[in-house]
Amino acid sequence: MGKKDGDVRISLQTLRVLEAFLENPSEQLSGADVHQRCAIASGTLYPILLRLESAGWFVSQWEAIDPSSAGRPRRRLYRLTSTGLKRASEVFGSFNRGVLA
Amino acid sequence: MTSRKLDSDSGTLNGRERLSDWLIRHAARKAPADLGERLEEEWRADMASRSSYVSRLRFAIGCCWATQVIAFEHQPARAAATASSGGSALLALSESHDMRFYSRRSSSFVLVLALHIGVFYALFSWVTRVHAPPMSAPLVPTFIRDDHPPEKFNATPPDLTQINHRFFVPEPEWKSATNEDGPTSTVKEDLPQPPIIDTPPTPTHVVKRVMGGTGVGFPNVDDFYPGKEIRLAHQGATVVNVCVNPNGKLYSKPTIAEGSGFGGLDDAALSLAQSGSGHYRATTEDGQPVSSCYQLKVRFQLKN
Repeated sequence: MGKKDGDVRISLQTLRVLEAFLENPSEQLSGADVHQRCAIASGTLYPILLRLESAGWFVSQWEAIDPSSAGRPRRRLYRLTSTGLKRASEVFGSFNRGVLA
Repeated sequence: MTSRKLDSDSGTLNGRERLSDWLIRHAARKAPADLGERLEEEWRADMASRSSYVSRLRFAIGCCWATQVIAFEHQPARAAATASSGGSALLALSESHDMRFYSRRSSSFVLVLALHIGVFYALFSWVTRVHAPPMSAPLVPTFIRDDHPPEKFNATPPDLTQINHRFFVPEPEWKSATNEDGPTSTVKEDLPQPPIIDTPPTPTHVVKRVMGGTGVGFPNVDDFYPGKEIRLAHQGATVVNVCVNPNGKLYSKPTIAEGSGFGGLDDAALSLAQSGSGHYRATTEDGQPVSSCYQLKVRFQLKN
């Protein structure tokens, strides 16, 4: 792979991550959710998430729960930005794949 | 940090979980300082969503690798951020996936591959050494040369007319046994011994052996008479042992069998015998030249 798209290097794994977010662009996904959908190993997944966040395609925030009452630690949730949605659509368009706009 | 508190408070971390926990903590420590705390909490939360221990361990190991990548990509981003205060360090982060990363990953792959090859080679060598049959000592051929001339065979062929040929064939003894009620049958009680036959000895072939000596072109004794011995009027005969091959050449150094009483003459005799190599007449057996050792008498005699 290794195609460069502006700011982000688009690899096959990056496309799979973007595809998971493009299924419902408004949905917030944690790393665990993306792993379940894409089956990408953590060693690859988190650098991609951070890279896309650094490029402005994603924003992230902590899950708004009380860990002690929920009985589990809070998660870091990622969401596509408008820029990310536009650029991801362009990327998939260049591959002749239909995406949500 | 909340998750860590929860884990430590619960006190339910067994040894296996402790390993995953340690890997996450170790990976987060290696991450850039501004991301370490966030990544540790995020990874702990995501790891908690995994059900099996193996899955959590794989996740933790993956996080260790992710830390390496993130730390590598984060360095140029920070440098870019400090260089251009207004620019976005995050944009520069995306450019950091250069070839150095791949060469480093390739080096790791090659290193792991080499380690595997080394381990398998050592294992294979050990197995073959343990199960291979013991090596026997290598055979070293040694050549034994018979320097002694064969003894002359003086046996005369026997007179075949005087040999008494005796052929003794004993008669078999048969005993008749009569059955009172039945017919008479013949029973062989003792088996006859094989006949003893004296065969005449085979006539032995007599080898005609002609001892060798000096041949054509053999050096002249006078040429080896030392001048000093001539002036001292020393005379005498030296007997030299020589071993000659079928080609008339010496195959061992000549030695003094009987000295003349004068060292100079003995040395000259040895020089003469040595110089004559190739001009000896070989010993023959039935006309065929053979290797042999014999004595050569060298006489140094002054002439008037």
